[in-house]
Amino acid sequence: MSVKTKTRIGRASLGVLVIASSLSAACTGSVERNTPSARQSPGTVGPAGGGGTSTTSDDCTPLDAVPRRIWRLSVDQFGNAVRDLLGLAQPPALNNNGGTAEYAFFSDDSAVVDAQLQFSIYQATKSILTQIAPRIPALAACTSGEQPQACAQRFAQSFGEKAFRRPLDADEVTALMQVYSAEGANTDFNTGIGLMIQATLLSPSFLHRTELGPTTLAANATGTTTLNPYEVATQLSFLFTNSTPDSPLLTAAADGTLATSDGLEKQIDRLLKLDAVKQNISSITLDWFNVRQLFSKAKDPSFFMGLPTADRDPSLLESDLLTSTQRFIDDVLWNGSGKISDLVLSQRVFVNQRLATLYGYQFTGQSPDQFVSVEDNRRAGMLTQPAFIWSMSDPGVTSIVKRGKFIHDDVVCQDPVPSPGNLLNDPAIQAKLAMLPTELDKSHYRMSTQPCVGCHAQMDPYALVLQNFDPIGGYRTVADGVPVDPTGAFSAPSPVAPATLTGPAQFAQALVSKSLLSNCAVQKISSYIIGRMIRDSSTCEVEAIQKSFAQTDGTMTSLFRAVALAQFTRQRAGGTP
Amino acid sequence: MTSYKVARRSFLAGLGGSAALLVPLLRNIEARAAGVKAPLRFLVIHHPLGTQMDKWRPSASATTQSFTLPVNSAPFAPLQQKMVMIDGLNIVAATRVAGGPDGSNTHEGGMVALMTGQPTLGQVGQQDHVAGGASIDQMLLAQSPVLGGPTSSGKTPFGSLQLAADIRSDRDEVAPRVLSYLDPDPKQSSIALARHPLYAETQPLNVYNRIFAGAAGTDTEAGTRLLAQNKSILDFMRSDLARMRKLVPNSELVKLDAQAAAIQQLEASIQGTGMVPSSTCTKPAQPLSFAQSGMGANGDLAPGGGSKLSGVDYYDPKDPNNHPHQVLGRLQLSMIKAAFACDLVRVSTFMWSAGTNWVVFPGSFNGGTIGSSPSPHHPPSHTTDPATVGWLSQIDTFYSNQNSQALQEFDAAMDMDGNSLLDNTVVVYVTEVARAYDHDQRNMPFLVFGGKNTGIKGGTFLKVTDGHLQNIDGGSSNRPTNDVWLALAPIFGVNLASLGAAKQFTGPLPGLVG
Repeated sequence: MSVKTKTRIGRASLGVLVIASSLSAACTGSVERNTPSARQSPGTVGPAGGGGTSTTSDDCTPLDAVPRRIWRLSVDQFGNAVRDLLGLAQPPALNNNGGTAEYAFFSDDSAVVDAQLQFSIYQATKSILTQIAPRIPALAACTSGEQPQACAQRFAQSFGEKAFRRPLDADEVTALMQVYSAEGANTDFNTGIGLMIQATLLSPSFLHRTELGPTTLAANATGTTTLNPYEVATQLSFLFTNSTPDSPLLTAAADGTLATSDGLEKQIDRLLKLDAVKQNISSITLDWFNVRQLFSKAKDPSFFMGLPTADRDPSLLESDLLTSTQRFIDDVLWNGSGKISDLVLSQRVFVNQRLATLYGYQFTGQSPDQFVSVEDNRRAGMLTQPAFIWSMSDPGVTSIVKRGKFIHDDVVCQDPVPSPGNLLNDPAIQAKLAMLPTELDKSHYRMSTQPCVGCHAQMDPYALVLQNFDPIGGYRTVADGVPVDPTGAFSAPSPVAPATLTGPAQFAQALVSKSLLSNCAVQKISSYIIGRMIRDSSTCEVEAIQKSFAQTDGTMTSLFRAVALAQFTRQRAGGTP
Repeated sequence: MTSYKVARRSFLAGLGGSAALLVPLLRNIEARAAGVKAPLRFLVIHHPLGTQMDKWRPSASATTQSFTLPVNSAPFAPLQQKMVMIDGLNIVAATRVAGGPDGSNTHEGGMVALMTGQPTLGQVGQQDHVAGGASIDQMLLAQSPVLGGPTSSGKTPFGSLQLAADIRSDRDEVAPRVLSYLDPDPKQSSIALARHPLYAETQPLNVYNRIFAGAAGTDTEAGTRLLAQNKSILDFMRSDLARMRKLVPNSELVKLDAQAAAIQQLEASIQGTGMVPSSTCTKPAQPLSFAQSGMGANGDLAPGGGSKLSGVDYYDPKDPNNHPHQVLGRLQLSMIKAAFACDLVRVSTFMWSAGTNWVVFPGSFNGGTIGSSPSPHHPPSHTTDPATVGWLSQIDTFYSNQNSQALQEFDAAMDMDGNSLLDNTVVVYVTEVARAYDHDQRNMPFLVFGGKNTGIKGGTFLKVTDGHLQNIDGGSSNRPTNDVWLALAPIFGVNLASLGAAKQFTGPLPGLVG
């Protein structure tokens, strides 16, 4: 059959391509749950930590066991770890993403070191050696009168432990010393130390985190186990700093204190005071809302006609928007209450001169590049930060589907709706949607037509309350020639239901009053620490944290603390040999 | 006694200006006299979004050696004598999941079914069909005694190359942006974790640095020292790998296997092993780096709006004469040519872009006009609107042009046996749907190139008439695309009795290989 439809692009939607939301007749809005596998008792207190002592709902679903595994560092983690090990000013960049999406929330634990990534790391280490050459003596830190060989041996042991995040055994030190004094390599002391550094950074033990449990465990042991203290140190460091464990963490692993509840809490509380940790938590929050994808979103240039020509460069604006959102997050988390709720209740937005002009704010900064805060009672925190809206919109139109789906899945943490499958290719549906001129028309169609309504009645309202914000995050009262009515009607099984909410501020209040945002935050950070996206909102282990977190001050710091303490994060399961 | 090389030099010097003309002939004679046998190579080139059937197929109703290529395929005319155009092949998808979607009539499923020929493990996300087996290039590499893989007597340093010009795809799904796969990991319960895609490299400079740059030679003290240093590092990496292998569960060994293979290739890269410059093996010029952009990465079907991967568009908003997608793609193909000529690899795949791609072309392109604004290639393709179809047709012709020029360069390049590189290379030119607007996968556009040492019966329009699958023109005479792989495999010493589920193959396609 032929489809004779003119496809409009530019400001109008891409017509037939707005089918992403069409859903199969199987979508009744029912919740899909993870299939329970090896049942684990939720809320049990293990030897290494507290948390999870509260009861959970009777019909909660135990989390699928995280297997004993090795987990390749992401390119960011590689860079951060190298930076911190060698005291670099900046992390080294790799010209390869290692096969993972650029702005992934966390690194995929199935990722491998392929030939391209390995070579990219090799090139980076060569460059690093050149950079650190003058500081090799300081890095080696030989003691007064120490012979080079002895110093090198001591360096192999100490640097190797920091890099591999565990002590090296004698054979490993011997092997590393063979790099130092390789036959035919004719290296002096400095070169030998440099080569040991390079070899270490290229090796599997550096490039992969291990989560195998006690070192005495057989490779194919079955049953559940717990991360060993060095692995706990590694888990904490990559959670809090996205980098390699610092000396106090390694010391706590070595002296056994990290294996105790008190020791674990002490390290967590120490880490939470570090500036680097605050920066990383802000970064995780940014990635929770998927803001960085704004760099991959082109916009219709007509939005920028109100700016001076020099300011219309999208790359400048994207950079500004990222900074604006980073400032907002820092303002809430570190300068304000620190509460998760304020991520949607705060009505601030941070602008420089360029953004102030773009969004129609009066600029009060002392220089054009200075970012100052503006109170705008039309906004609701992250939900209406310009960068977030920009990243969730198309070039010329908003996207009710994208905004709605994201908030549904990742801000409210409702269980995801089924995929529309092959319905996307139905020419009749494509033709129908192509005839509907505006985003709102399409949304109304989806929410009133089978088989779309079952899922879109759940997703679209989350976006409808944000309809006052155009594709670049600017406020509007008219869209497509029609006054905007930012009303969303929420029906079961939405946890917001039953409710009719108008505008982002009302919606934000609902998210907070029903603890939806904080509960979702727990689910997201729990996913982050184990590197598995938890999509079942009734997961027992997550519910346990939600209940204990509800008794705290509601800050992001307390949330990270609660997740880090939860025993399930350190449990791993053996598999079939 | 004067050495042959000295005598040769004197002979050529005596010829003066005529020597230049005779040198290629002399090399040819020398190669033949020396009995140098060039290895066979295998290359798959993918272009996205099918074609316009009436502009692709000649008007012939039966197999013939006398045919004229219409406008979209006409650029391949200079290669016609080393080319077989096949009409009558259908992509047949299958899945191991009872009742599950098999990816039929989708870009994503089409790629997987075409390249692996095997049932998928299932589907993840919206339309990411999970490959259930190795791709044909990796199958041949693993089993062939001549392609430089593990069962070959002479192994190439780098195994195989997976290159692309652009890998942006809807939702960053794996299926549409990957051609090559290894066998899935049977120990993984999650199908997303089980599949083993070989992601393509998109920067020619990275390819150059890894494959061609090499280490300093051993003719200097510094070079010798560097080689020894590198060796010690590689030895340490391997010892660490061996230690880890004893500690991890079997399910995790695949990750260490991957790094083991990576270390082996690193050794080839940094020790410069394998590349021996000669009259037929020349190190390519170092290419520039291409700035990546996400300009076209927008639309509804990607996570929150577009591919999160970066890419390089055809259209450059700052310079209408600059077409980085084209330049990048051609550079990648030249890297493959050089890698083949230097016997660094014998198997490669190259993808111009994913079926669900975001490569931006001008709104008016070579006479086809979709609108006043530039547009990404895939999103507008689901229409029979004449203006859009005209624009898509021009893009298809563009890809024909580029690939024809690249393959003519293969044909002009002398191989180590004195024949042309194309005489020793089988190239398969594929796409993942026959028609973009409805994803029909019947009568797939399919070209097979190969010169005299490949056995490909060039100069043929091969009309399939003995199959049992639906023909887009009516009737049921088509065969599955797997039958091409079954026909080609014996060229490389691999005999595949079957490929995929029963419905996915009939037998080797007759008339393709002599």
